[in-house]
Amino acid sequence: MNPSVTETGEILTKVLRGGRPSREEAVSLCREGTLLDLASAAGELVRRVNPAGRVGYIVNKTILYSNVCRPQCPFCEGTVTKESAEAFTRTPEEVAAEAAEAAARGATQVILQGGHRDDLPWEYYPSLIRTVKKRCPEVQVAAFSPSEIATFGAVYRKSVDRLIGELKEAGLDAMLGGGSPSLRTRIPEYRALLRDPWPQWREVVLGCAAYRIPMAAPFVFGFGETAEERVEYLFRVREVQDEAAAAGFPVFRVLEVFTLSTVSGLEYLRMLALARILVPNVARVASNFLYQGAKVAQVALDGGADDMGGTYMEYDKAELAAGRVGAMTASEMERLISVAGRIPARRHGL
Amino acid sequence: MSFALSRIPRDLMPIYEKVMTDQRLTFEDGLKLMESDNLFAVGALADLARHRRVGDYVYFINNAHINYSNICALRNVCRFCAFGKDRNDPAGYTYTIEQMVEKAKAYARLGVTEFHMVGGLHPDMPFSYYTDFISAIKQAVPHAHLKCFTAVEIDYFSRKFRMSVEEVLLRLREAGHGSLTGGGAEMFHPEVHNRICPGKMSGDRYLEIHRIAHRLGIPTTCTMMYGHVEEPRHVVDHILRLRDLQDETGGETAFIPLAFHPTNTRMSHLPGPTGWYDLKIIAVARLLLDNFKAIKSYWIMLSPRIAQISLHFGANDIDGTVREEKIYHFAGATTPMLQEKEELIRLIWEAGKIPAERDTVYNILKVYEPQRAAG
Repeated sequence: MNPSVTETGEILTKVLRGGRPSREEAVSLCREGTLLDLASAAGELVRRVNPAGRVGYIVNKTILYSNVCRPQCPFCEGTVTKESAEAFTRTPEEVAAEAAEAAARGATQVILQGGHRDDLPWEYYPSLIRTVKKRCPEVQVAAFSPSEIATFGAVYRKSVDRLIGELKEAGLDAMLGGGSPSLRTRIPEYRALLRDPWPQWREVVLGCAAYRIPMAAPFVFGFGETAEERVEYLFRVREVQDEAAAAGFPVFRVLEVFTLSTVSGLEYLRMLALARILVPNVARVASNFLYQGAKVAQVALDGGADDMGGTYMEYDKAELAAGRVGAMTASEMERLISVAGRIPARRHGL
Repeated sequence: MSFALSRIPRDLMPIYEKVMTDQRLTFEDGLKLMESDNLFAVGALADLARHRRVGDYVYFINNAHINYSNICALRNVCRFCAFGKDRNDPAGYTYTIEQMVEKAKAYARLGVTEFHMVGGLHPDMPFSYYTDFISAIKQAVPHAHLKCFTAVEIDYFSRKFRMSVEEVLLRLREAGHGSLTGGGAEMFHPEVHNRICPGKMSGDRYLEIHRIAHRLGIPTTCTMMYGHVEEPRHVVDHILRLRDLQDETGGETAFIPLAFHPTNTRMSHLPGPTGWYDLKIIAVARLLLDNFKAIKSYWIMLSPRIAQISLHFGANDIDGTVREEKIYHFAGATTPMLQEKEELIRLIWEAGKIPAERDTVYNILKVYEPQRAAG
């Protein structure tokens, strides 16, 4: 038998006994762990913390308030520089109208997305949040990520604490975790956003914890990063979550596993299981159908996931089943979860 | 023992014991597996069964499908089909023998070793159309294996041309026909059969035609169309009937579960099978079918993503290059029609398995030594 198989078994056995693997052991799992081994361990961990088998999902919509972004990272579709003829920036009222429309279609969360830029007055951002919240007070408004906050800090010369405080006061409900080491280390355009990535990222995350703004931690991979870099990110999430919890607010509500469709379903499921194994202190791990399709996202429900994330109603090209492409709906989510022998638990926010 | 096997849950332990001691699983075992919420545990059991019974090669074939016609007398019978058309339908087509020979020659230049040829039940063509296209293709590409017709077509020929099944098969063989395809089984249980294709040839007749073919030394593959109106017991029943036939004849080379595609069919209100169910079916088939060498994960209808994952759920064949698939693509399939051989090899490697290019009857033509995928 391949010696690494035994090693995987030993590490996973330790994990199931409540031990946290070392960085070297985590890298070994990332490199060598088979799908069946990792998914079995991760599935068992989920069954322990969530014995009823409840699987969360949310009806939500991503709304672009602007398509202007300075870095132009190669993985991002649809952003342009501010000089482009296609550049747009919408008024807060326009964005609020779209949010209200989404709410009328059942959305309980809107994710406001724009780029990293330096040419809008600061007041645009709190005003955007305020206007949407005023129009749709019952909808959770999630926006901005650590790299955006860092950009704001540099452009508007405000402290992280003040930026988050002002956004919170405007009504911001939740923030996006944004940014994995893979992006940071492998994509120079993105790397340039944060001068000192980990401390800046940590400062924003803990700032959100201080203001009791929950976050989603995305785990994005598949950009040519190494196993060490993937593990590095997951360890950082675990560490900062420990710190936030010690301060009274475990800020990360869900670890969302994303990757573009160039990554195989097999690798996606391996990494999702790894995320569950290495980050036991984030309550939920969410699979995502956008790039992997509903089939793979559903299979993850026995391999470490107990959430399926948002329906992203703006996206109508999801691979829902064999030969069936369309928009993900609440009833489709519930079917996928039920077929997997789990109980659908619709949530209203993070 | 792998870690996954060390964590098999208690309710599946009796099945684990049986797999480890080469005991046959029962109908009840099949039901328990179908109903288990532990998908990866079922996968680990199926992976174990595959490893113990048939080893670690994953087979593929350099093949091409040629669907000779979509005109079908059963057009109004099979509610799950998006392929069959009436003879006056503008979307109907029937290839001439010259067209087929031309396609076959072009495919042969790409290294194709097998032509997979099925079509609708054409109400107008004489029997000579079939024997002529077989001999013409065989003459043009003598090394190719012609895997033609499902049991449903054979049954139709037998009734329409007033010949026994034996006579049909022998005359086809004389023309150069090599083996039968596995389509047309749908789901044997009458409760399901009567809902999805009332009036179509029965499951018993399907099995009878395969039995006759095997007696004549003609290999076949067999299938099951799932993901429509069936219940777990119907799935287990279907698979066990195939196991019984295989005990009797040994003539089945592979079992191929076929995922129902609802788009453009008269059952388009159904959502179609999920990834969970796809993998469950593959794993349960591997565990129950202890007398089959190949459980095939047909990437055309599962998606290459799920087909690759299924290599850890008991599948050891991912079909082939296919090149021109019509039946599933009329039913909305979004998969490509062609996977290059290199792509199939990479997909198998990436799953940690050893690709083996095969011929129709599972002789290995070439093994591609595994290379660790980077990252």
